[in-house]
Amino acid sequence: MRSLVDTLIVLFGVSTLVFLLLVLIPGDPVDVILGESAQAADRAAMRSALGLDQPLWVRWVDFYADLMRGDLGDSLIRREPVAELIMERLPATLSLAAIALALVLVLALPLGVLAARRHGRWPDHLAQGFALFGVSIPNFWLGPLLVLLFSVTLGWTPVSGDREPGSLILPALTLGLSMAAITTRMVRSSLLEVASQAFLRTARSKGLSEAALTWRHALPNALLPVITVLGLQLGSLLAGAVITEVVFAWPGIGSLLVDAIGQRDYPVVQGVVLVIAIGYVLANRLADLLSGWLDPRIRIAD
Amino acid sequence: MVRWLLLGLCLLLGACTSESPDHIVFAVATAPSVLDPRLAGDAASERVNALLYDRLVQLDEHGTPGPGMATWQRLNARHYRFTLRADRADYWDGTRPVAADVVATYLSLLDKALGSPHAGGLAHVSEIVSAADDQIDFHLARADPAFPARLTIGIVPARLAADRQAIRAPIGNGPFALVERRENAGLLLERRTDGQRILFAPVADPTMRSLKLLRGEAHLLQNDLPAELYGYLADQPTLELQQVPGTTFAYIGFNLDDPVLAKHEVRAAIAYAIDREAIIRYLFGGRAHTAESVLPPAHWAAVGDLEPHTYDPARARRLLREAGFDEHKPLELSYKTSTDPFRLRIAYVLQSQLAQIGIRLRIASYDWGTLFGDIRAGRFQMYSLAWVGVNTPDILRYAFHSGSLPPDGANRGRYRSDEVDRLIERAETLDAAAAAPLYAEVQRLIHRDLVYVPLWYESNIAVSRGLADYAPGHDGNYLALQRVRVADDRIR
Repeated sequence: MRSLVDTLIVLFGVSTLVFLLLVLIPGDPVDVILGESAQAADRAAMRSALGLDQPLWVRWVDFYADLMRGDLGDSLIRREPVAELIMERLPATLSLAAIALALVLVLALPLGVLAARRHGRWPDHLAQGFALFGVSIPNFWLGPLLVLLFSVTLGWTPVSGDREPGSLILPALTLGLSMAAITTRMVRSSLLEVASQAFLRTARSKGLSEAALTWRHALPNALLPVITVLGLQLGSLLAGAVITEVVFAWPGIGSLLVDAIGQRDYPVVQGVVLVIAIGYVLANRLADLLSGWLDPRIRIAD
Repeated sequence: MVRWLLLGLCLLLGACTSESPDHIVFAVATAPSVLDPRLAGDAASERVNALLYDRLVQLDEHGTPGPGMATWQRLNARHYRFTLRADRADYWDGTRPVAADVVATYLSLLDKALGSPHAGGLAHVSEIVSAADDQIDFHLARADPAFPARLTIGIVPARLAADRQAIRAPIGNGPFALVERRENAGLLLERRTDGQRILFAPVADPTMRSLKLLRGEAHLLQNDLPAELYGYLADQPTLELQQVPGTTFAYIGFNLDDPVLAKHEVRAAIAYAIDREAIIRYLFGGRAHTAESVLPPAHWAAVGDLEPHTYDPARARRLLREAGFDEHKPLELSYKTSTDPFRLRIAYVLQSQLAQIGIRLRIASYDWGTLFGDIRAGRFQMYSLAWVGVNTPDILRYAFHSGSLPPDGANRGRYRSDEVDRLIERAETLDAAAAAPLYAEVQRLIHRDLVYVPLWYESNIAVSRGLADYAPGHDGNYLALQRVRVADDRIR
């Protein structure tokens, strides 16, 4: 119950900040719609139609009233409901984030475990090297490099877009690599920390194999901090998809956001930022729930 | 091993194929925002809408109006009659465009509730009536000899125009029909004469756009690439690069309310310190032409005898000294530009060139909205922008008349000249032949007063693969798609 209240407070704060975006961003929505050649009377009429002539608090109340009805307003440029634009794009972003997350799990768990089990030896150095590479390389550079190799040179994948099969591979790889790198490091360090604990010594003395020891006993205990980080990263996957989507012309909410910022389409910017923020909050709450499920002590503490 | 892993992923996600599609893929930097000609304000939307909807009037490369889907008569100074041509194209749904469609289109456009960016230019239209099934009368509140040139908006069916919203399911009578539109994932059009399909695929990143062309995923690119990429693509044997002189006019604007820049000597010093030829040669790879006026040389109202401010650093230094600045009292100015990497590169070259005569240029780079907001509000000393798609001499009132100071127009430099105002107002009451000398004089005065430092017209460049009969339009339009052919059977 307390977490639900916390979540609602955070969402209220985020949505208020998002509303204030419209007021704080320099520029005039009327200019965006009517251009510079508009007559003063037309500008005044449009200002009134948009409610921009109302006091800030009235606009704030209207914003919440609309939000409660799921109405995020209309795009100034496309002249379509923002909610519809977002709903049309959201599945593309979610599928990209889901595949990237799957890639993270597929890469980071075995690599982290391998690095911890072969601590100080070459597999560990290799995993650490991969982690350093993944964290250091920016998405906007990695993306074109992958395209040069896999699309242009080898011809295995399409360059960009979502029309051809296999289009998702390179964007997901680009988006997931840095996250996989961070998670690999987390898994490794958590496992090393858990390895010295008494319950593992007991399990080992009972004659359990190293593999069973690692996967059945050490990993579930080491996963708690990893899940917390994954929760944070899952939220940032939505936000982080912005660059990847632009580079790969992936039709998700990230590229919608970038277009809207460039066109000063304030309601769309508001709507997308709100959705990303909600995604972030929900991902973190999900991570909290998972942690509680894995470790009853956390549930009891809550 | 890596290949097997990737193949596994391919199987998981479908299959990796790169078969040639049955349509021409045109990779564009931005997708059109609206497929409603009444609301299209951005260049991408206007260019695509011109393919979907026919207009009453077409402007040629000289900016001269000619019949589109209608011919016209001027019945008196405030009354024009347009007659729809018998050979006009039908709408895609088989219905025939009639006068009621034209009336509905223009009335809705003038409706404040719609909020059309084109309404300002038609504010003097007092009445639009259908005189017959194929005749439309436009009554004006004031005389406007250039009125037909303003009727270049696509005509939408009356039943769609009735809704005060953007058209979501467009029906036009242009040379192309819409087959499919997916939000930012592409726009598929079909040529009505032969069924050839064109897919407009938005790819914002210029490098990725070029790579798509190289790999054969795209067959056509036009503009919006950095100069070095054009050079690289031009060297590829499978690609063809075409270049036509453009009308996009780049300039440096001054804030004439600024006490330093109000001095003509300072503006002249800056103009003579800029080596435009070198910038065009090295930054644009020769793909631009020096400009002297906002109206391109081929325009009917252009002026051909403007003396260029040829690069002359010695003269620039002398002028700066006359203005009271020298090495003991250096001049420092701010210059606002966008965050576009190419525009920033130009800014750094300008900074270096102005440093040669002792001007220290502080470059401030902003996102588009902030930059434009600052310029509109007069919060700048110098800035650089470009005029895109200038087709009528209305630009002279819009950008230089003292009644066009923001928010009432685009006289962003706060230029005030009674003589220029008088000449523009007089020219607007005359036919083209009589107005042309007055517009030429206006441009001479603006050039003399150095309201802008005119820089260049950027060329329109198309890079294609396996296509024939395509060349970009003089203003960057896509109208050549009406005749483009697939020369390479693999695209068919």
